[in-house]
Amino acid sequence: MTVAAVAPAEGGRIGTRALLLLAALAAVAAVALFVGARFGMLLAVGLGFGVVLEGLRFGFAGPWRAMILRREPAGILAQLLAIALVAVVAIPLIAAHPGEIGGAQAPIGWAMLGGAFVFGAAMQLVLGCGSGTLVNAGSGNPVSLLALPFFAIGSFAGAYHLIWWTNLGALPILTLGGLPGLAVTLVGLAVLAAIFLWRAAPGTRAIPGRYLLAAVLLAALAVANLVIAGQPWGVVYGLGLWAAKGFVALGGDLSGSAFFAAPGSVARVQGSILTDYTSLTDIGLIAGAFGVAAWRRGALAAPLPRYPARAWVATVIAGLALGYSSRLAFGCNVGAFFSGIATGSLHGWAWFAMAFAGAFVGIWLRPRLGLEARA
Amino acid sequence: MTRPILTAAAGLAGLLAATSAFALGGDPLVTPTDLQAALAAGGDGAPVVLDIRGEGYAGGHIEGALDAPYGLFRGPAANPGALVPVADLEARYEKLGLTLDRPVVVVAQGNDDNDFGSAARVYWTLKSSGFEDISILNGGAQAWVNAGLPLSDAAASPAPSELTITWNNQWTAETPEVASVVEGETQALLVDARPPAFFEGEQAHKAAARPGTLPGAMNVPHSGFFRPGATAISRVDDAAALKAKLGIKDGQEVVSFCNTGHWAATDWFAMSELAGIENVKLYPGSMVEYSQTGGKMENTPGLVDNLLKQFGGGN
Amino acid sequence: MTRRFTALIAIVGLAAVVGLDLAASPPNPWQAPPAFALGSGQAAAGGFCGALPG
Repeated sequence: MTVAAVAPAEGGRIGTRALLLLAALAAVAAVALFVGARFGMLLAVGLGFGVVLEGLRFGFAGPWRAMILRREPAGILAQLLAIALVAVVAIPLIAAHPGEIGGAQAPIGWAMLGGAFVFGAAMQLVLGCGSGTLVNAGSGNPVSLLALPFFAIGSFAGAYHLIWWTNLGALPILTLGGLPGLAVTLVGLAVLAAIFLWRAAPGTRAIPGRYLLAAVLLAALAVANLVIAGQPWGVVYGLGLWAAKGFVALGGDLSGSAFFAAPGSVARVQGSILTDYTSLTDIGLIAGAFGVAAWRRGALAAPLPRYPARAWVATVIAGLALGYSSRLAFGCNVGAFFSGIATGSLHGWAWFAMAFAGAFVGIWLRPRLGLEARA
Repeated sequence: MTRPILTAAAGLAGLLAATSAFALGGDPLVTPTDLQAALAAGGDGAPVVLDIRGEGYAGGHIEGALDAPYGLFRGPAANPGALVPVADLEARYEKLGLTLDRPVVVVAQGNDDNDFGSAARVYWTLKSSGFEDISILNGGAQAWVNAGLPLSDAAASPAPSELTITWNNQWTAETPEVASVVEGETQALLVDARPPAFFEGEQAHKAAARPGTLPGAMNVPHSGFFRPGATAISRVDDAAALKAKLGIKDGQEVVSFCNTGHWAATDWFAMSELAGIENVKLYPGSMVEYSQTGGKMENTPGLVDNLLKQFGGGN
Repeated sequence: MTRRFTALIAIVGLAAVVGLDLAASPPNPWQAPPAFALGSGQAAAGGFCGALPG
């Protein structure tokens, strides 16, 4: 290859990157100006989540798989570190400003536990969790791209039926609040980390710098999300809202659902998705990941892997299951596991226990459904 | 010879006050003591007292007063100033046992000048509905208590009445009429009764689509009709001076508006009922309704100003 | 086919969702809440996966 042949390509790359930055800035500025400052900032935070998760190749499903299959704890330890960092800020902040800022606090119940188990299995099946499915779709992963609309439909259906499920039986909302709550949360995370370190394969205990950086950046973005929106980082509510809006646009009637008939839901179904916090996060996750993929040399030139037909069928079903179960579970890996534990909700811990158990089932099922790709 | 006649006239007036149906004599304002006297006089034409305070009613009210919360005369949350449909209004009057010919006295709380607006809005609604003799208890229930007059805890249970009302548009300017003034197709003086921050577009009602005022409007804050801190409205002694001050020409149409037709009712009441200026109308839906129709507005902040304001504590 | 194809579907689909929504439910910047929930004095009221609707 000659220098002359490389130069125009490099010039084009710089142009593409400048265009990506410009597009991101323009989108944030336009939303801030034409929708509201809070919404523009939340789009920026969402883009940040997308860039960090895709740019540093960090996620939730992958590290769990690494721990279960290969006993490599680095990724899961970085997750726990990020959660601890958020908790240090979030739990005292919620205690000091209970009206303005709320946590990801939900009741533990039968449906919640079952939902978390199913979610844990489904997220290993398609190797994409709540945030992961959006990030992977944005960067061109065909499995996640197909799973995404069904995730949204499942999330809508789960929300539609949510009240029926919670009526099956649930505890009151249990939270760890204030400084004692923070102490218990940090000790709990430390114990969990110790267990993973103890079970780790030899030579896998160190956390790579890339993961540490991701954990710190995710924690900073999650705290920003909390301060700006008054609620923690979440994902699935927005997707379900998009499907609900589509359902209404096609002439559907939501009045039969206790969830969607509630005044708060009605207002959000009628409002712009650019005023819905988790929708902005979701838009940012997809667009941010797309931006990183387009930024990277050759990332979009990778050929698409081939899958058998049953893998696509499994993807559709897993997408629906991810969406539906995450509503029953009061959140996915983000809303329940990450934000739940980080804001002192016991349902986050219960979610983790059930989803991690479910992950074993998903990992066992994945090759049997043809989802181990043949490139 | 004049003196005995005057004395006789005064004596006659005194006799009328003691025996006639109603001593308020069509005055749009009534003081607590005059109301007390009229109620004590009783008779067929004794005034019916409409207590519009809502929750305050149960805590003690003028004896015999009807519990008629302000909400009965107001629109839905998305457009609080909207007119209540005439059929609904009629049903509400019937449930309260009202009749058009019996004098009505409207009683608001009277904690501040803002409360007067609710009484004025109800007064305007009753007048447009065809009620013949309406007064506002100036200073509201607070003035009644401060005058040392007694309260009752017994809730009134009126016998329903039967009546037919038609809305008299004489004092009403609805959105199309206001829009035609804004477009310059018709002429009227637009009077914004809100505090200056609303007129200037720095503040907005939460149901308004945009801050700002009607193009060409003049700011006449409702509180200007009260002495500082007073909860009772001042009488307009010199109507000509008021007209000159506001620049109202004889016979010119005036439209009073605010956010939801509440403060504007005070301006309307002062101009139309106290100063006797003809052709003064109230825009019931006011800026909340108008801004939702997307019509032209003035003093609406630009998008950049609007953005910066969100960092300074919001709207 | 490469990932360029699927990534473009994702971003174009996202733009379509936002575009259709803008046409159906136009936002109103004059009713925007204070920029930061913290310090706004307003109760948090957004939709969230972990919350039942109010």
